[in-house]
Amino acid sequence: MKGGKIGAALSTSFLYSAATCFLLGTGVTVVDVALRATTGANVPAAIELTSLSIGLGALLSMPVCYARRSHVTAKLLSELSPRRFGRPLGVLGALVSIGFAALLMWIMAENALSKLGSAQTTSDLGLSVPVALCAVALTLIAALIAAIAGFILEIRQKPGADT
Amino acid sequence: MSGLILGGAGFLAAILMIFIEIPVAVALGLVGVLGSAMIIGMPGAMAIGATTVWDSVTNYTLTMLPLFVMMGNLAAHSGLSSRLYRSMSVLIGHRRGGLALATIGASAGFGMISGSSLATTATMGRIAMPEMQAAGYTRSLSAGSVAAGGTLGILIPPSTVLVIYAFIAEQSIRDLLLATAGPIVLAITLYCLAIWVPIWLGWSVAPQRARAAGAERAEAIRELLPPVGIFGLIMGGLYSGIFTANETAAIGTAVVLLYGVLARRLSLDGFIAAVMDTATTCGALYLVLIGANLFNFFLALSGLPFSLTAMFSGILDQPILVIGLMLAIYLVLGTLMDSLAMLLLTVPLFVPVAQAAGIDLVWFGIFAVMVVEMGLITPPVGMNLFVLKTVNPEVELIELWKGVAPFVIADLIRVAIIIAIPAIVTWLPHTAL
Repeated sequence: MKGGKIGAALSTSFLYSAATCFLLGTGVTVVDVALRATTGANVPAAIELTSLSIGLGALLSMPVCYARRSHVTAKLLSELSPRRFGRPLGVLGALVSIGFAALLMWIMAENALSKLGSAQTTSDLGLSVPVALCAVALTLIAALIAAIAGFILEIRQKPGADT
Repeated sequence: MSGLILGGAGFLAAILMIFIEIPVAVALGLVGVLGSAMIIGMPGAMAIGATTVWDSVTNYTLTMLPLFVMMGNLAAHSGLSSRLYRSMSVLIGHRRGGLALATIGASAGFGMISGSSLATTATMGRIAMPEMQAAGYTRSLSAGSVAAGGTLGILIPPSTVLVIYAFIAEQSIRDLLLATAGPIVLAITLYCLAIWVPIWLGWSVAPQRARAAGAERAEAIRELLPPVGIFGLIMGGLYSGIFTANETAAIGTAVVLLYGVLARRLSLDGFIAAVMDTATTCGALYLVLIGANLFNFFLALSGLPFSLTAMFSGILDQPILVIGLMLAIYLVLGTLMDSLAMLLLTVPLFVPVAQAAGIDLVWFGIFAVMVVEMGLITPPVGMNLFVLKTVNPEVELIELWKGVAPFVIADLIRVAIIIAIPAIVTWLPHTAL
């Protein structure tokens, strides 16, 4: 029960953070267009700021996607026969998702570790690329934990329950 | 094992995994990484994987995806989509087949927001079907309009499916969005005929309702102005070149937000729900894009797209045959999976073939999205039909087939027209400023 509440709070925090990043990206672009129209100037590094904030938002929303199993899935069999296919295919999908989350996490963690100490920075904002890669890897670690949580939730779901 | 056999095996494995409901991103991504590892070794596959993830989350073009999704969610939470159905039923409900037309229009609006035909069919199946039944419409006509209406929205800007096609096929999203104008007008005209012709022939019954009073009609027109204005802003901004596609998405989002706040139709709770829904959807969409990119890279490494182009070499000088073959494949795939999965699987294979056959890739994108959606309503096993049957179990499958038949014919005519007159698709992007 307590674990469920913590999970829900974590999901909400991730979603709020992601939404804030999306709003920041929108705001930067709108201000950039407005400035260009009125004064002919641009927001410095507007494109990179938009790309990175929205990209970070997308990354932060990935763990929630794994935990809530809100992936894009072509549901044909479970629509045709929910009782027969809904649960076993849901469990299978959640299990294979753990494998994919682990693979992505391993790939990015190794890449981030190999770049540690490098002086590489992003072109406009001058952000440290190794630090940014570590942030990506950390989010993917959270995604792996979320995928495991999603699998456990799927297993615990009562047979025949509405997914 | 040769790269080619691996490519074919990987493609079949991805189809099988998607069919047994492994998430699309997971199926494509796993096949992509593991397949690439079998060709160039694990260190190479991991390097490609890292670059793909980094490029996907820092790509500027892709930033319009969350913005378009947010615009749609803000519109939904401001009540724009539900008002669309109400306004249209007030304005045209008194005409013969008017409610079916309103359903098509509202489904298109909802599809535009949700980006999924299946979700649109499920939702409109619950909203519009009972109203048409109560008004005395034949079940086949009601079911047909709901199933077909769901397929229309995917083409209407802001179309997330087209943004994804543009990303995978490396085409201009601005050109693709502008290219939708002709096919949309054509689709609306042909869908009107698909409703009216069976009524004229006495195959469907669609009683006329009493005409709404003047004040009610004026109110309905006022309600229609915001969605029409926002659509005009998107197309006008893109056509005139005042905004880039990304800027259009951001400005569109800001305008919808401003409308919701100023018209007092978007509460704080509604706003929070809209941005949270956006985050939930975008996590899934970005994972799909990462998976699709990994899969594309594997296919390119395997050489499968080039072999497929070589296989088609005998008919590359007859683009019509190439297009006919692709149409047949999409109709078959439409019985197994939804539009996004179909496009993600086939675009990396079909785009090189289309390019070799001299087919304009903007035209091909519109064609692919159209036929992929058509596959979802093609009897006997289009997926939209099963979704509608699930939410309305009392509808017989035979009624569904009968109901969608005129719309499938309309779709076939539409495809035939854009094949015969490609300028319907390509004219606007080529003349835009």
